[in-house]
Amino acid sequence: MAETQAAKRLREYETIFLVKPDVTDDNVDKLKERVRGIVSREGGKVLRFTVWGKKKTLFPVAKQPRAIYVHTSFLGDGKLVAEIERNLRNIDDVTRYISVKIADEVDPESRPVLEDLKLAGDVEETRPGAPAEREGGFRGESAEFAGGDSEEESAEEA
Amino acid sequence: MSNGMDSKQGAGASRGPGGGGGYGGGSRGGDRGGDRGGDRDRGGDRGDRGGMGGDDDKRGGRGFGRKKVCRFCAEKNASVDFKDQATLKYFVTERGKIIPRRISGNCAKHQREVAVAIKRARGIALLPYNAVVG
Repeated sequence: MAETQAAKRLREYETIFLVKPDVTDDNVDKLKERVRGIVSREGGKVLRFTVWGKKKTLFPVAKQPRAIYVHTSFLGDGKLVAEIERNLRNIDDVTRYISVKIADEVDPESRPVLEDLKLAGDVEETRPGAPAEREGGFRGESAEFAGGDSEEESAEEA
Repeated sequence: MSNGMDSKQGAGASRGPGGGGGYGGGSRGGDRGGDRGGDRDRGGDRGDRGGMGGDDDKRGGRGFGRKKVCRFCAEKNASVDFKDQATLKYFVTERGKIIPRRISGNCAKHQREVAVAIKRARGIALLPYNAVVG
């Protein structure tokens, strides 16, 4: 197997997942630890967790106008990614996730583990101002499915 | 301007009958009975084309304006990143559509990368699928 090689090569991935905005910091940390546990269990290596904080989404996600973004980069293989995504799918607080491969053939020893970061996110104006934003900004989730009607009525911007 | 055209016209007329390019001028001259206006127009056209030949090669022979450069090729350390909301915003319209390459000036390679990045960014609500304008 791969272990027979002198240096085991892994792939580098990054995963971003969106957490519902009403989840507390403690629970976000728990999610982080859960993902970290999966990565180490499957023989990967977490490089860094970055909590981007609460950001405004460009369309309502899970009927909320903003979401907490959590970004993580880690080393692992395809099975690990599948396992992480399976878990994220099962967590109700996680609304969306995306995993992207960044690099092939990374030597785990060459990549240091970086300490977790926490960004402030968007400036928090008054929380109950949400409905106005939801109306004002962008059309809702129905637009995801290649919203036909509004597409047609849109003028040619080019 | 008129002076320049005159001199060019003179050169074209003298060259016309002998050179390969003269067939148009010669036949037209015969048809129209030595229409000087026509000759001058041709001379002007030729002069313009000659002057802008360098640009025309890149811009399909029509129009003018500055040449667009792929922003990711111009900057060596710039890479397309689907997390980079601020950069990707340049490549979508107000409505959230991907701007075509002929407008944005991206090279083919980077336009492909930008398109994928925009679609990924939409998936995590960093860019809109369909934004209502106004």
